[in-house]
Amino acid sequence: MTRLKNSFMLTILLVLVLPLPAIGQAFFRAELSQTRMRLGERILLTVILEGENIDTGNPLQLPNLAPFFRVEGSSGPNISTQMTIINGRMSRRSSLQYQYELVATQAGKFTLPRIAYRSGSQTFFTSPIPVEILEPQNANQATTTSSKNWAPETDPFLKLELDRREVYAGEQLVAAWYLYYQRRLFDLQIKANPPLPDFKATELEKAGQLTPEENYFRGLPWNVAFIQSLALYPLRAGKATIGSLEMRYLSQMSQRDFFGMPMGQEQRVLSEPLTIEVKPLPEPAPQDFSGAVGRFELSARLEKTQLRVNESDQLQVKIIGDGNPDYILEPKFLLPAEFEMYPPEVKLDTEVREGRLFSIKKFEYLLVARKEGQFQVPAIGFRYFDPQTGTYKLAQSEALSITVVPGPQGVVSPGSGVQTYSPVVTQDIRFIKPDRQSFANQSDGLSSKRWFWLLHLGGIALVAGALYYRTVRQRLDSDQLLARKMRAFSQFQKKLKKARKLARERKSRELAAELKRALLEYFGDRFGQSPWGLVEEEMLQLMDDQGVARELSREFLALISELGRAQFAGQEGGGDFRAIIDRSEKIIEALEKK
Amino acid sequence: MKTRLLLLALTWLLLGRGARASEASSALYNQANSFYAQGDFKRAVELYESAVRAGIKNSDLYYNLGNAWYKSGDVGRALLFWLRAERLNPYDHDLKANLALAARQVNSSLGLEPESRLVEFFRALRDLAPARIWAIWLSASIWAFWIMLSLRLLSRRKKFNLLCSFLLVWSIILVMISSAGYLRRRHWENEPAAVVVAKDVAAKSGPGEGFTPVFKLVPGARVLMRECRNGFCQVELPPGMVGWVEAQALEKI
Repeated sequence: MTRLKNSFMLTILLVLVLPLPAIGQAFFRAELSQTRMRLGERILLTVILEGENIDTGNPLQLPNLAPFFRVEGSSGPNISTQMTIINGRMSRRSSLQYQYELVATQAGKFTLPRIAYRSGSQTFFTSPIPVEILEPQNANQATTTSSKNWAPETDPFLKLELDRREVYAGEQLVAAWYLYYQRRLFDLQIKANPPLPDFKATELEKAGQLTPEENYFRGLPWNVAFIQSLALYPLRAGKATIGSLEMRYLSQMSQRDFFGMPMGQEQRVLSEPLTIEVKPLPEPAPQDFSGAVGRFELSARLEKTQLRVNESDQLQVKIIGDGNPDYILEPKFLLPAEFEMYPPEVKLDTEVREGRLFSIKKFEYLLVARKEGQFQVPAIGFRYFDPQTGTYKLAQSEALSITVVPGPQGVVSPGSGVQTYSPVVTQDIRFIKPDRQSFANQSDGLSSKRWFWLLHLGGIALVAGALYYRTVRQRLDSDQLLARKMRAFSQFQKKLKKARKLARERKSRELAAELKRALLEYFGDRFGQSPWGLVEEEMLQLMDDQGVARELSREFLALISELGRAQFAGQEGGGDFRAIIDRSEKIIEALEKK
Repeated sequence: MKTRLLLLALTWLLLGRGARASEASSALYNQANSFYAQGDFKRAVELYESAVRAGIKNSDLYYNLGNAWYKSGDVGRALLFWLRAERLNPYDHDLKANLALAARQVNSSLGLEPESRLVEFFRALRDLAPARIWAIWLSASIWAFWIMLSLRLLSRRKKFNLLCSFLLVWSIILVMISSAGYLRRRHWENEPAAVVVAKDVAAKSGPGEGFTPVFKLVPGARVLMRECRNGFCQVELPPGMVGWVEAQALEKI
């Protein structure tokens, strides 16, 4: 009893004593990723507390770091605990870590003050860290003002840049958006394109991913990444507004998810809307002016300059320019009356040259020469407004000469030296179908009849039949007795045919022998036992067992005996053959019914 | 005996009537052909139409009638009859050429882009045969499948078994291709398509004169009819433009 009492007391003591923390040696320190940096640079401050049985429940308060540093983000506390039991004594070693992202905001020498942390009844301090913040590189001009009047832009921000500030209605204006950022951005994407009610807009270029370049803005280094550029054509004169481009991104947060990955918070950034003044086109505009504003060139060429009568040719008119392609209309010109001209096939291509969008519009006309002679395709013109000079101009092609010579339909292509057949191109329909004696109605045919499709279900019966046949065949293959029984009658019929032939030849002995053999083989197949070597009584018993009437069995055996006698004792050519064959057949038919 | 005689007489009457109608129509058709050859396209149209009214459904007749309408200056009705002919006989090269020519004219008037190569390929596949011929191919493929399956079940020799299996797989592929072709073609033949036959047709935003015109249609434009209300039908142009058009301006293919 005393021993039991002692053990109980010891257990209680252990339970009470073991969890008691005994604070051992603890280390508290602060580390900077670099102590010398340039203005605007980002550095990492790490604060670590390590020790045995320390209390990690209190939050860490950073001292004021202004005006030299701005705290951009933080993570922590990240706590790890290790428990060990040595000689029955449990100790707990913990480590606590905070990380801060700092941005240097003022040049000069500065000492990072001591950071305090209260753990239980004890307060720990870090050592002060001297740091030096240098002026930014290559930003001498900017720093003079930035150090005094510097007002930080929000990080990140979107900036819209235009290739020109003054435009005419219809003139191309290139708008490009750039993202300026210093912090780390995740999952950046365009949320809404800028509203452009006063412009026709065409995409020029779009960034697939951020490819930042370091650039100084207001004296500070920024990562600057191109986002997208648009070719804009102002639709009317007056004020025109380029709306805000909206992007979204995730900013890094101090919280971490279950897997320890930093969790982000969705943020958005908008570019500033910009209103520009669009100048009207000077009045009066020429009559043939279609509205194209920009730099334009026109060229015309003929596929062939020598043709035969009724031969076709192609005239291509190409207009290239950086204005709104909607205003590049089909040029007006008159061909000599000896030519037939068909409406053109219009093709539009675009290409980017020196950061601007150029439209290439091709008008391809099919011409057919109807008379021989020397002709000229007149100069073809296209009127446009040149914003550089502020005047209306005419882009013009040169006149083209064309020679038409007489010739048959199959012609020699000029200049090639090789005889090729050039069929006469006609834009007429083909001729009618010939006369006929009668008409066959081309109706929907069988496909519209329901029975036609139902007929296909017959295939199921076909497959079912094949399956049944296969099953029967497999059964017969595995059961020889059954197979013999099933073919007994057909075998007998075959032999009966032979017997009939012998009867016609009046060979009574052979007939008796054949009939007897047929009957005995039938017996063997039908009852599954060879009759050879069986006495009459045994055969009778076998037939009895199979449920054959005794009278029929006796008649069967009597017939066999009779045939046996006839085989050996009968005379050649005598007897009623037909009667005996009929009798045999009748007996077998009766046996089959059983 | 009397019943048999009666049946025979009835059959003769029925068959004879069909043959007489065909003969009469072919006479009209041949007469129209001669008017066409002389350049009297209006008279040719009248006679071809009489043959159509007699109940003849034949691609050659529709083709010639389309030609006569084209030569009379009515591209809309020409396209209507060519499209009807195409449903019966998509193989006809003359018909294809005429349709392509007219389609170019109509598409350029409507400002539509030519169809892409891929669309053209699938259309060529669909137009390999009319639905009734696709149905025969499908039927033959189905029977080939049943027969191959039966032979496969019955065959005992290894080589024959292999051959049957190979042919069975092929018959399944043929069934899949021909059923896809048949269904696609049948869908196309039965879709509620119509052709614009009137000039200066403006599709409106609603079924009435007072609604805003949303786009213009030219004679020969092929549209899909959705529904008809108050003498107006809602139509859809293949690029996805939808509007209401007077029912009189349309003819179902």
